[in-house]
Amino acid sequence: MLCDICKKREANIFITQIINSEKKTLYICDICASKLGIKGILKELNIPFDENILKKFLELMPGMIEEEKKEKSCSICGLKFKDFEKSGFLGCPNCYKTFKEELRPILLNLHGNVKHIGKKKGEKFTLETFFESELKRLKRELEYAIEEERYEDAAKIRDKINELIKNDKNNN
Amino acid sequence: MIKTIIKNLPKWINNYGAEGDIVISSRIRIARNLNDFKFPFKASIDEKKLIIDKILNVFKNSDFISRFNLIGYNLLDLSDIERNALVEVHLLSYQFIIDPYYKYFFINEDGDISIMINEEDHFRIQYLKEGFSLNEAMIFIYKIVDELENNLDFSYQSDFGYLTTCPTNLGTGLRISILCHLPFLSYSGKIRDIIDNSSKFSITFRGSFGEGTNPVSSLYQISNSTTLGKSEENILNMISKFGNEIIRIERKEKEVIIDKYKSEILDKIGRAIGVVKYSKKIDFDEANEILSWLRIGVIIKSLNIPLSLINQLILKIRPNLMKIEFNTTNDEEIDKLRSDYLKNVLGGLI
Repeated sequence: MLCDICKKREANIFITQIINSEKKTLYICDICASKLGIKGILKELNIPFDENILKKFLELMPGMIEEEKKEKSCSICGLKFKDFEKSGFLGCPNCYKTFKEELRPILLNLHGNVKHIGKKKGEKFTLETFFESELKRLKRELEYAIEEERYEDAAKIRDKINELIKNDKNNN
Repeated sequence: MIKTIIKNLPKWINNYGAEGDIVISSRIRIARNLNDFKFPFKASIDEKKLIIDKILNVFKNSDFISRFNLIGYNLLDLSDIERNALVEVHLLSYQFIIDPYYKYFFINEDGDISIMINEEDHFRIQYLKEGFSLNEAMIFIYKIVDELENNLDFSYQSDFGYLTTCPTNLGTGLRISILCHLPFLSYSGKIRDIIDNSSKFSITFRGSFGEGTNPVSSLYQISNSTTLGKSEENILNMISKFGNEIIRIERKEKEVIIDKYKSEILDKIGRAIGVVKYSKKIDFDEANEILSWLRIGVIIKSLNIPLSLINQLILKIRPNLMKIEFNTTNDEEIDKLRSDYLKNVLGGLI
């Protein structure tokens, strides 16, 4: 049987993963296994760890990443992502840095958004007109779009800003 | 002071506010956390004590407490009935009192400000106002929050905004809600469609008692369901607009219902009066239903009772407030006392 990773050499190692009683087996050759950092195989070849092979491996066994994600813990409070999934509560401010990527889809689902648009820390809250608050919101969105190099979005937002300003002038 | 607030009720329920026929009260709540501490859910006993000490220390060195007329209490120093009574007048949350250890709170004499420490977040700051008065309430509560921010290091991240224990409050940490009496939309059943569709507008719409979508009292709480990706102003405008629309359709529905079912409505009001006058026991649910019908009676001008009195009674008939009013802990006795109380207060008016 050929190696599932390189598809060239004969496989003589197999790795089985069972998640929710679903079984998946991957067949790997000695060389790819060594490149994955699986120790005790072909010591004499001294093959260095290869990140690309690991990427390929994780693509074929995505469950491994999920498990890794859930085991990840916050260095300040020790909360694991799977604890958060159970309780819905984060443990400390640092959790938002630790689990930033994992939280994004959750935030998108909860709020339809992942970016804070409201007042910044230290800013005072004042009641604004609709024009003022819209302008502020769009400027903030423009800032984020540029930061994230989404230039097409940025152009659209700029058009919206210009239109808002034009409408406001016409109304006054 | 707690006894006075419980006895005389908070200012926001005693006053009759804007659009007061429909909107009983407006409530703004803001969640904040301190930067260098674990969230209460994960904090140890020592850390929770430290959080309280730190906050009290900061307050001691400023005029914050005196400026807003606040008095601070350790939750453990209150009796179980007092704690529950403060939940019934909306000054504390139920979640806050379930576990009374290492909890501290501040309230003012008017009973419209409350600051809970070590609730789900380190800070839950709340301001209540009569009627539909969101703008004033927003301006006022941010005076408090801005002042706190001057003296304390709140946890904040530029991308996620103010950090909260539960991501449902992330960003602005702002929850704006209005408590509405919507008997006509309830009577016609149209309220169901509105509730089913409200999530599309990032609005949470729920019966103010329990889980039911059709509470006997026709009291509903309308609030924003999202806090991230919108400014404070956006959220305010959203609730204002939605609230105005609800007021408009409730009034329209009133005309339709009165036109079609006036005799049925008058019959229900008459029966509610009958129960107050002649019954010997009234339980909590029945009292809510009666007060809702009396409120309808006032709105359609068939009764002449001040609406603010009915609003006060909506709070007064709650179990723990009754226990304090009549100085009893006997649950059995409450229904009888409630019946006597309503007879007494409403006697000359119905």
